[in-house]
Amino acid sequence: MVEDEEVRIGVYICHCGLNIASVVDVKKAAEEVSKVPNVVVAKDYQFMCSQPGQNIIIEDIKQHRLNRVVVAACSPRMHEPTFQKAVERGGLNPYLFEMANIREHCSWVHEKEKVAATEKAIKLVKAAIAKARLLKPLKREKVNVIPRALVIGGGIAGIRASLDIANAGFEVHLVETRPSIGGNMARLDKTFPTLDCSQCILTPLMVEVSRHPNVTLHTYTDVVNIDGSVGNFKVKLLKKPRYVDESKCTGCGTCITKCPWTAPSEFELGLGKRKAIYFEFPQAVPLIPVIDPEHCMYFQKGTCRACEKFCPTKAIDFNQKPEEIELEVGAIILATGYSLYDVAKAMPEYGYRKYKDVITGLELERLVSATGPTKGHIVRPSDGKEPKKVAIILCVGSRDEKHLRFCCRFGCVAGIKHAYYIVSHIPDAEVYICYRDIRTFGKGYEEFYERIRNYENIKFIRGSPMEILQDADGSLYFDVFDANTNRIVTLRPDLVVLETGIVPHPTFKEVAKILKCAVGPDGFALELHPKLRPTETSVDGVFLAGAVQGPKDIPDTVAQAGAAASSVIALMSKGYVETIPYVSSINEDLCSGCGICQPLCAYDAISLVKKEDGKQVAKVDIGKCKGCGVCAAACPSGAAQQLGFNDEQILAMVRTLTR
Amino acid sequence: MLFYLIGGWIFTFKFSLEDAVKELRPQLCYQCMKCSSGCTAAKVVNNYRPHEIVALVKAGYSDELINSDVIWACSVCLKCVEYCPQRVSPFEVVMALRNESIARGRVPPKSFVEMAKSVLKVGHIQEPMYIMSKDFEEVSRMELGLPEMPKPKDFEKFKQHVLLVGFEKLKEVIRV
Repeated sequence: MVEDEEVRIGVYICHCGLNIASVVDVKKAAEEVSKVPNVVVAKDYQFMCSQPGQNIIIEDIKQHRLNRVVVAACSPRMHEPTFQKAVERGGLNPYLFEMANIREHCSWVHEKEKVAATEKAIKLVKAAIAKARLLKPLKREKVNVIPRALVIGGGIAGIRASLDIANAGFEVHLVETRPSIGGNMARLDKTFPTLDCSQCILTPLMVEVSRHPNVTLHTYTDVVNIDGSVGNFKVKLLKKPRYVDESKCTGCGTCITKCPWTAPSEFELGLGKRKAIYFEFPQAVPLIPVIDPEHCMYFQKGTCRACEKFCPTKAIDFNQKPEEIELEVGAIILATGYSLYDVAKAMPEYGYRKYKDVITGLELERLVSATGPTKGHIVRPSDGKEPKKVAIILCVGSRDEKHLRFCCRFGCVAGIKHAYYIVSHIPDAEVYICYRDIRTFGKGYEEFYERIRNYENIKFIRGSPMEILQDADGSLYFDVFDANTNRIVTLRPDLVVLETGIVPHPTFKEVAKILKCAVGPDGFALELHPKLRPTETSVDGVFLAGAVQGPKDIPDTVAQAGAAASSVIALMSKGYVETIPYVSSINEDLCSGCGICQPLCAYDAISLVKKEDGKQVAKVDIGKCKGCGVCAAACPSGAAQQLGFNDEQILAMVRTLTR
Repeated sequence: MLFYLIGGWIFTFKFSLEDAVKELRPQLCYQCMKCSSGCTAAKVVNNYRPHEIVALVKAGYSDELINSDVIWACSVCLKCVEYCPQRVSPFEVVMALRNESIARGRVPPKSFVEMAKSVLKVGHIQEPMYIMSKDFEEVSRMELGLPEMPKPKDFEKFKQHVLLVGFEKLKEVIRV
């Protein structure tokens, strides 16, 4: 319709209060551009983005029969949507609008060159007019959203997010790589600052999520591939063989009692042992054991089969094979969590793994736990004796340019909690907390710190030790400078607890590669905006929950999981997404099918397809295309063009600017 | 480490305090005290605290340090360089303070002067046959069963090189 019409452009120059008007002569600019062919009306106004400013555009569209609008004001990132909506209200296609940035690109950077700034502003507006002449109406496509979500990671973040989505009435598939859901929180004995039992608050949620009619659990399962885009992801999962038939197993545990072979327990972080057929932990969900072929005598030597012999329901199946599961989902939540920084390798000066009595905070949690390897008795790993003097070192690997630059955000309060564990289990023990700064920022954390400061036998040392050494008799000792007393203190602790920094769980790296979502410099997932869009990723329809985005304590993790779930629910309740119209489009007559564009596409949006006549051409998935324009720039034949930014339009601008 | 040690020495003799503040960024120090906890010299010299020196430089009290004997206590073990979580390097801050002190013509403590003289005389910080105790008593290496220490092959050339890396100012100050 527009193509046959005479082009009638309205140009509006914004003062932006004094932001533009104090440098650029806006009256002169409006007067100059009014002489440009096709410009029907050119005006200047104090605040174009205000309601009266927008009304000028709407009224002019009607009165002057405008079919293109140019606004010269701030950055399009600021107000392009505002003016597009105004143009739409005026009855035009919103993409028949062009914006010239004469604030960030002109008045703000040329404060002292007013005459030249005015000239530049006029040129920028003229270039925008040149492009506006060639604008074509664009259309936003609607893509239906499959009302089913995938949650990757079955820790507290994944469980909470799954429950929220499921409770809203949508189907959820929860994937966990370990045999049981629960994640790191299942390892904790108590949670700060209230000291409530971690299992007591976590297990009800684990059971609830496993029994929820809308949730399908996929434990001991990895994500192999994800294709597609927001609304329509095609997911491939690989279920590892448990060698136990889940439909027959009742979780009685007879097989475990009968199994004669042992191995270090992953869940107990190597502090305890498990059998070759084992539950991840006693409260595992689902309560179905798994056989570890590496330690199972039947898999290694071909004999034994004790578990099979004694299983009352004949659930053992040594012939189970990995199973591929395919799913179609509309949205994905990443909740892969964290693992501890490898201080054994990275910081040998602290002697972790070299000295038995140097342990991590998470290992202490297992020693304190009633279901842990010592049934809740705090003992030294070296000789099983009760430690009477314990040193807790904060910031191990964290806030360190050579290791992890960031603060782990829970080490301080965890260290304080660990000191409480020691004195509550061993009342006559002495605890030394070596700290740099105590950061108790969460709700109730400072009050908790105050409560722990009251203990006479918990001493705070403001200083970090440089190295932990061993005496000839095997006892550990280290020097630490205490700034509070201005003394070097030599400590000879029976047990050293390292509050280590954290890194993203290794599975995240693979998932990020599959999804091509942005990763920050620390290896954690990069959110779309650190303040305003903390749960979204660079991939539409993929959301973040918990420590995958950065270090988080449990309250923050649960809050973010809820936020991610509500984003998924919003997407699914609406039922469709609108694509951005500035996508790449391929002129199939020009495309030679050379395929140069395909590997360049950072969003995996281009595929090569054969047409009916046998000709190979590039095809753009507009659901995935982000309109970056790389394919259009690389295409040797000009077949790939970015809508709204095609070669003709850009060259018209360049010609105007260089005239 | 060896490379660092050699590079560090050459580097530090000509390193000014101004450069140290600019390049070593002592302002990044957040006082974790790791350097003072593990410092070899701090264990024997009571008032030598690398973190405190960094803090004083950061706060603008460099003059106080330049005129004090405390900066001469560092034994160049480089542990603070190795373990500083903010790459501040208290060692190099101390070296810059020493250079500044020499540049202003201040004579270092006796033990250090003796070492410098010995380097120019025999190529070592002390007579190779003897080990000097903390109280400046000489103990024979032979008595301790230690082998003789190798000396520079071409002593004149060695001396020239030492002067080249900025030793001449020190030589002037201690009047060798």
